Amino acid sequence: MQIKGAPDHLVVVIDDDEVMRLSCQQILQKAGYKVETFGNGHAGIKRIQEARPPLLIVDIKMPELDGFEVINIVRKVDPDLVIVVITGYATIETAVDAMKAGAYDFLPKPFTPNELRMIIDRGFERWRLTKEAQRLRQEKEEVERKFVTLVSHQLKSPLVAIKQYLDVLLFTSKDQLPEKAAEWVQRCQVRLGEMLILIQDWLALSRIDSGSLIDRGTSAELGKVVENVVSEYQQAPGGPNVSVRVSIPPDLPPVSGDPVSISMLIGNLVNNAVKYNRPGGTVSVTASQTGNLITIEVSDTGIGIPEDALRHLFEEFYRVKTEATQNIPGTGLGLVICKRIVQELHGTIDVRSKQGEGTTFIIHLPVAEKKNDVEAKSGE
Amino acid sequence: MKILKIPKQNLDLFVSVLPAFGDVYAPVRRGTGYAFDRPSLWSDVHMDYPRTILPPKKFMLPPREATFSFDPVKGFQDKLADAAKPTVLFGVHAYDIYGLNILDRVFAQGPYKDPYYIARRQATAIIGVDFQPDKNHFARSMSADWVDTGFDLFLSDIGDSYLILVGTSRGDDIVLLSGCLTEKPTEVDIAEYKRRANERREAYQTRIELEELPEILEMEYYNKVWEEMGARCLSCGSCSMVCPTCYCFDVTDEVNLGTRAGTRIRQWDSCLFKTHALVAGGENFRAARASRVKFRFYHKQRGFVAEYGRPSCIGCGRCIEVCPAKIDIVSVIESIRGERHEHASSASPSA
Amino acid sequence: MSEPKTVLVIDDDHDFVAAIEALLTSSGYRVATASNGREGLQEAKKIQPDLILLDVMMTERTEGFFTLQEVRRIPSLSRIPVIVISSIYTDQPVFRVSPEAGWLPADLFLPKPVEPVRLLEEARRLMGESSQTAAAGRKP
Repeated sequence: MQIKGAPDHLVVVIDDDEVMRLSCQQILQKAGYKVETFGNGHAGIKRIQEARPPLLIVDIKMPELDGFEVINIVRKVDPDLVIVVITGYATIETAVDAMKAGAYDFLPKPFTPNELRMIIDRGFERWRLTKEAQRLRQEKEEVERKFVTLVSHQLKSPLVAIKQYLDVLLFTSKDQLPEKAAEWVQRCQVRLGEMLILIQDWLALSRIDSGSLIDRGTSAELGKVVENVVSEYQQAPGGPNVSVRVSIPPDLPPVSGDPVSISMLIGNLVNNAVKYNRPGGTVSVTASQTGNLITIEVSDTGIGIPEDALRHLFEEFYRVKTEATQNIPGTGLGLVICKRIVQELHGTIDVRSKQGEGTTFIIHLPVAEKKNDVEAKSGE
Repeated sequence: MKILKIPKQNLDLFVSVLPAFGDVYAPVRRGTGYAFDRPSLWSDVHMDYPRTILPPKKFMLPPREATFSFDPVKGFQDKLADAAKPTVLFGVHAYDIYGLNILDRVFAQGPYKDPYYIARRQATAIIGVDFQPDKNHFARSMSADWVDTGFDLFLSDIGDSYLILVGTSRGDDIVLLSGCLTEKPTEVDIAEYKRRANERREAYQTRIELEELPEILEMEYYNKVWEEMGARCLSCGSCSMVCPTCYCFDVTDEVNLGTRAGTRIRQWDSCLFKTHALVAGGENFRAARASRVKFRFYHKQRGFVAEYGRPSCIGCGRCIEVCPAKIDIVSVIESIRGERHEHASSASPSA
Repeated sequence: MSEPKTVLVIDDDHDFVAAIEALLTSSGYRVATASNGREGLQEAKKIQPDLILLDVMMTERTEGFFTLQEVRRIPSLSRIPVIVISSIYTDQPVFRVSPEAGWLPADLFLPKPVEPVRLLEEARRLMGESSQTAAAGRKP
């Protein structure tokens, strides 16, 4: 229990009645609070903006700015402020209105010193608990952030080193290795590769959740992003024999969202479209604009998705388990990531599929808002 | 003015983006002091430094620069192009920015504009940062503790982040490029900024009274404190070198031996040097050291005022720190003001 | 027969350096190594490599960036092609000051672990012609 009377424990009183101000001050100062009183709403609001006190006592009926208007303004300034409303015009309606407006409690005049003290003590306790909860939440986020950093460096580093050795070993000494050894090294590479992708996906998810991945304030040129994604795919050596067709109009306006997140979104879909395709099949990526939305379609000529799997498709770690998909690797997180990215950018994602024929993912994303020109101050 | 926020943990990335706008200079340790130099690692950069040994004027007005060369064959070759090298000064204190603004009045405004200074000034991006005043800072007394112009960006410490004030379109380009590192400030951040600004204003330990100082200096022209100063002063000129607003320069032609080719050199000069007031014909207007010491103070606090409307001293305290004879402008001004009151009371007729 | 080309690898991960060194020497290149930016610059000035492989994050998170800027600034080194290798490039969003934005004067970015075929192809390409980015200069 903190010591009352410390500077935090400031109560601001706004009441046009001088007698009321003085008595609140006397009662509460005796109880150990620091009290500042103001005869009008404007002065009180200014003080609240400066000092961020825990408690406000405000009268409803005042000339100029009335209690409800004061409450409206200060709740925007400090949502944690605990507000106690006092008034001589006590009706149930006023009480209800006050609570709806955001007051913590309601004290009709005349009130006894005890009644005032009790409400203020309770209100202060409430403020203290809110601050405590905020602090704990911040601590939790800090721990989470540190954990994510730990995973990304400490876990990933050794795996990267191991895979690098194996990649070089296989590349330089494949012929010198006994047959089984070469095979096993390859299996190690594959499993390691899966682990690395899993870590990557999991980190991406936790970043999306913590809000640190997606930058909603920027925009991305779809043509460029898709071009990069497709060229990365085409550069991967020994890939399956699947061709990728891109059709994006050059005058398409930029889409809302940063290039890295959009890249991740398209990348995951293209990756799936290739993985679940048939040999010699095609993947096509198209985009178009309808009104304020940009529609992106990624479709493949692959094995398709069974109907009962469709509704689980975007669940964490869900993977379609059929004979056809037995040997296809994957983390089960790719589509979850896609869905979260799309949601964060206020878009939608949908899927159409026919088993044996192919699958199409349809994404709608808002067009990026035009940036206002910044007023440039005259330079040197 | 556009205002953004950058968490302190993103600063190293922010600074590694800056080279896209020019060679980056930041405050790094130099011996027991600090200097603007190119950092080779983020950990070289010291954001919390009291002052640098030399002020940022060394970038706009280099200690020694070749302005043009001449050659019987190649003719006249202007070196102006060399001056326009894109540079970024990161971590400049407000009083130093103020000092540059004062130099702008001398070199970049009025009827005679200096193209070399202007080229450098325009090619240099300035990113300011606030600071905690120590006992030798008196910038507040000189009204130089805060600037609203002369920088591309200004970083203000609000705890675990810096508020970024954008001052120019170049500054805006910088924040656009490093976009994902910055955030929108919240009301809490703005409140914290105001609170700390108040604290900083109160934190100045040294203040001097500027009111009537030019007049008092005029009255105290023959005060014996100048003789005392003169006796102590070594005429080394360090005060001028480290002063952000001292701009005296000497111009010489260095001719190649045996040829008729050469270079015109401009280099720093100081009114403390014995030859500063030496004119053709051999007359030296300030042969005595005391007169030179007096001249410097007078120019800073009175002469400059007459011409430009405010003292050129910006209260950084560098001269106080660097003077080998420990001549301290604050003590000088205090004693000038104190002595005057003594004189006045002894001279006043009895009521 | 022409002199074998030299590649300077600047990275504090000894395993990575060992693996890449084996890869490059088996393809006929001479390899020099350094484990931090400062050492790397010294070595580069001494041996004038034909290609530099530079890790971004060594003893400090942005060490590679600072080193890269220095390479571009030193006249004797500014034309050497640089491949920046990073295990964090595709990962952490905070490093998303996108290399494609052109603010970092590297010739190429490769994620770790590096695919041997890709690295060799790119190395061959970059050493066959002088660095494009160094010649292009930077934004004013």
